[in-house]
Amino acid sequence: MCSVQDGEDVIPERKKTGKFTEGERRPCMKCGESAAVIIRVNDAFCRGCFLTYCTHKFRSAFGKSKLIRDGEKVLVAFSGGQSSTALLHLIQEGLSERAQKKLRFIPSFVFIDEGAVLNQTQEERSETCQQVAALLQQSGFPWNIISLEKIMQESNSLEKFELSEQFESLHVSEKDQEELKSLWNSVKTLSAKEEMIRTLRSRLLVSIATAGGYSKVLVGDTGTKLSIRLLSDVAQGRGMHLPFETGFADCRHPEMKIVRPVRDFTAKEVAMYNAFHNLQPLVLPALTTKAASNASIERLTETFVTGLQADFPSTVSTIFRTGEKLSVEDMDSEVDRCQFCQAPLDTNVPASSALNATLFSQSLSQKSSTSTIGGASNCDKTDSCCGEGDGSCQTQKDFRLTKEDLADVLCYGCRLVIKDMNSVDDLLPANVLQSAAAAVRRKKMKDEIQDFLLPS
Amino acid sequence: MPVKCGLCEKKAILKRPKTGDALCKDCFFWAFEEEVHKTIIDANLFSPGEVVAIGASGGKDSTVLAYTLKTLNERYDYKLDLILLSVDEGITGYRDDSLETVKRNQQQYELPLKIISYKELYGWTMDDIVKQVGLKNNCTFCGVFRRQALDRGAMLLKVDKIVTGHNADDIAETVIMNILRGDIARLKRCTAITTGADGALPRCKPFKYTYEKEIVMYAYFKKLDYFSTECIYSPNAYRGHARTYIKDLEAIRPSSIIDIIHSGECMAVKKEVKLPVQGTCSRCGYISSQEVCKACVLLEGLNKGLPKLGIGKPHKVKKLEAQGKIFTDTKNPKFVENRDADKGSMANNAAALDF
Amino acid sequence: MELVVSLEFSGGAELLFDKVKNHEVSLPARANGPWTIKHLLVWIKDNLLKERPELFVQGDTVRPGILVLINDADWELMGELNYELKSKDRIVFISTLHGG
Repeated sequence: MCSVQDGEDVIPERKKTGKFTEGERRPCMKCGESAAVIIRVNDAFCRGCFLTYCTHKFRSAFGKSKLIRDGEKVLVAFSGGQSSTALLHLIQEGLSERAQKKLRFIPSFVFIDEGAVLNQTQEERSETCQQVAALLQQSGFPWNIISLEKIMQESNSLEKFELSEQFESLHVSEKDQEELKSLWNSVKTLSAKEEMIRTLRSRLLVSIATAGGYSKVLVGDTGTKLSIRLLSDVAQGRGMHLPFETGFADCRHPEMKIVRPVRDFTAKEVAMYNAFHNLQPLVLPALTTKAASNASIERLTETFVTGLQADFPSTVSTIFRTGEKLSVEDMDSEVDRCQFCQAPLDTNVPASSALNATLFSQSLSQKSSTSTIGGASNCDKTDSCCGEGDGSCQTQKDFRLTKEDLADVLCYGCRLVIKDMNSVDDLLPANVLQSAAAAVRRKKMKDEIQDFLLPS
Repeated sequence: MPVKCGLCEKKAILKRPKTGDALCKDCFFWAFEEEVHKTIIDANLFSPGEVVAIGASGGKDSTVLAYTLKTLNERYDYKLDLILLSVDEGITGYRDDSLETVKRNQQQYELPLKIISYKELYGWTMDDIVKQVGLKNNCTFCGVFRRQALDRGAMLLKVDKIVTGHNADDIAETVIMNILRGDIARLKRCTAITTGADGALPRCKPFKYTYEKEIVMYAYFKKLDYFSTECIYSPNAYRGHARTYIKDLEAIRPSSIIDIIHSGECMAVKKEVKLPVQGTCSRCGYISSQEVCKACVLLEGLNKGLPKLGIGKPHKVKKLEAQGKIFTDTKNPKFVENRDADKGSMANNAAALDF
Repeated sequence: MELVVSLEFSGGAELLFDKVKNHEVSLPARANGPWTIKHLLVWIKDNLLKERPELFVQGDTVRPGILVLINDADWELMGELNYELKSKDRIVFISTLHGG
C-alpha cells in the first residue's frame, strides 16, 4: 500500500533564491545598511547587527536558564574547532569590563587530546597540543591539556587535575596508551567508534571537572550539530535520551551538569561569527575526515541533514524544536542508570516492543548458545564471590564479566556499541567495569529475592 | 562450501536481513511466521470471534499479510473472520491492475472481498483529481481520502478491526518524517501498534516489527502473487528523502530500522506541550482536530474549483468560509448522502485517525 | 582578459587543497559571457582540487554545509551561483562539517 499518510501535506518550504542584480543588495532588517549574512530562514543582517545579535543570544542563554551562579567555577571543553573558537571569544567578550549584562562565572579551559584514536604519531599529537596551548595561553584564562588515555585510569588518580602555565609535553603512561589502543581496536564499526569516543570523552570531562572542583562543564555544540545528533541518536536507539543529548543542560550525571551555551547558534552563524571577527579556528582531523558520506551513521546523518537544509532552510530548526518538546520521565536519583553513558535505562519495556521483538528474532534464528566472553563465567560459577552485592569482589583478578551480563546493565544505545565489539572484558575502562560488575551483582541479587519483595 | 542453515542441517539459501543469520527456506518461513504470531500475541491484537478487515492493495505487504494471517489463524486457531477490503482510488493503469491481483488473492486464499471506490464515496476518482490539481499535491488528497475510505468500507462490512500491511521500514520512516516535519502529536502516536482502541474501529499493524526485505523474501520464496508496480502518480518527494535515509542507514547497520522504532517507543512528550484536541467534523461527523475535517475541505475545494483549498494552513479555509465563499450549501450531493448513512457511528470514532 | 581573484579555503575545506588556504588565481578570459561562481566551481574542481571532489562540489554547486562568502558577504545575498566575478574579488569557502 502507498505509504503516504493523512496529514502529511505540511511539508517544509523550499528555499527561495531571489534574483540578484548588482546594486540591489538586500538591506539589514535591523538598521537598513547593506546586509552581509542571511540567517534563520531568510533574515538579512549587516555585519554589526549580526555580531550584536550573536552576543545578545549568547548572554540571554545564561540569563534565561539561571543555571550558573555568579562566581561559579565552570570548566569549558575546548576542541579548537569552529564552535569552541566562537565560544571562547564569546566568553572573553562576555566577561570583559565593557560588556553589558556581564557574565559572572569563572571559566577554565580544557583540551582533550584524542590523537591516540586518530592514529597520530607522538609528534603530531605534540604539535596539535602546542597549537592549542598557544591559543589558550593567549586567552588569558587558566587551562590544561589532557589526553584521552587518562580515561583508562582508576577514577581517583584524577584528583591531581591542575591547571598549567605552559605546555611542555603530553603526559601519557604507556600502560594507558596500550589499554586505550586495545579497547579501540576491538570496536569494529566506525559508527560504534564514534559513539565510544563520545561517551569516553563525556566521562573524562565529568571526572576532570569533578576532580577540579567544578560544578558545570560548558561545551560548544551548535544547534546544527545537535539536530544531527538528535536524528543520529534516534537511528541508534537513543530516542529516550534526546533531552539529555540535545537539551541546554545534560543532567544525566548526578553531580555534574553539561551545559551547551551555543546551542541556539547554527553552524553557519558560528562560522560567520568567526569570519567577521577574523578568528582562525584550528583544523584538527576527526574520525570521519575525508570519509565517504556513508562511513558511519553520524556521518550519513550529517550529510542527510545538511543536504535537506540546503533545500529546505527550516530543517535544522524544525528538528531542534521537535526535540524541545520531549522529556525524560521518571528522573529521580533511584532510577537505574546505564553503566556506560549514565543515562536512565530504557530497556525495561513491555512484551510488545522493538527490543523484545529483536531478542525473539535472535533466539529464533540461532541455535541456543550462551557465549561467554573471556572464558569462565562470573561469580555464579566461581564460588569466590563475597556476596556483598556492592561490587567489592570485582577486585579479584579472575572476575570475568560476560558481554551478556554487561549488556544487562547498559542502555539500548550502549548495547549497540558493545555489540559491535569483539570483546568487552578487560577492555573498557576499569571504573566502568567495576561499577558495571557491581550493578550486575545487585541485579542478580534482586532477581533472587524478587519473590519476597512487596510491591511498593 | 555451501553454508548450512543455522537451525537444521539443510543448506541455507538466505541470510536474514533482520538478524544476519543463514537459514534454509523452511526455517525462514517458520521464523517469519512465528515472529508475526509473537507480535500478535504480545500486543494482544485480536480476540476470538472478531471480524477483521485486511486492507488489501494487491501489493507485497498486504498480500503477505493476508497470506500470513490466514495461515496463523488456522495454525493457532485465532477464530478470526478475515475479510479483504480494497480501496479503488481510480488510478488507471495502476489500481485497476492491482485490483485484479486482489481478486486473484480472494480466490487463492478463499477470503471474501469488498472493494470501495473514491468515485462512489467522493464522486471523484484520483485520475479526475489529478486533472484538477496536477501532480504536486495529489498524494495529499489520496492519503486523506484513503484513510476515510478504509474506515467507511469497514463500517459497511461491520468489522471489529482493520489490519494494514505497514512494516517496520514504513514505521521507521514515519518516525523520521514526523521529526523532520516537527509533528509532535503524530510522532507520539506513530509507533503504537494499535490505534483507535478506545473508539469504534481499531487499526493495527501486525508487521510492525517485520522488515520489508523479509516480506519481499517471504513473498518471493512462497511464490505469492502480488502486484509490484509503483503508483503512477509518484509519491511526494519529501518522504522520498526520509526513505533514502532509512535505506542508507540499514546498509550501514541492519538493526537501524528496529533501533529507530525503539527510539520512537521510548520518547516521552513534555507534559506542558499542547497536543491538538480531536473533535468531530461538523459536516460529516468524522474525527477531526479542525471544525471541518480535511476530507471535507479538500472535497469542497474540488467541487468549488479551488483545488488548493486545504493544502497548507487551515486559517485560509476559515477566511473563505467567513466570506461566504465555501461551505454555503449544507447538502453536498454525493458525499453527504453517502456519509449520512452511518454518521452516528463515525462520531465516536475519535483517535482512530492516525497511525 | 584574464580575471584575477583570491580564493580562501578554511574550516577544513583546505584539506582537499593540500592544506593550502590562500590561492591567488588568474582565470582565463571566457569566450561566451562573464565568469560566474558556477563557472568558478568547475574551474576549481579541474585546476585546484587535489582529492575527493565530491567532498567539495555536488552537482553544479558546493557541497551542502560549505559556506561561501563573496567579499565578506554571504553568497546568498549575492545571487549564489549566478554572481558575476569581478577583478580582485575575494571568495571564501568555509566548511562547517564535522572533520572538515
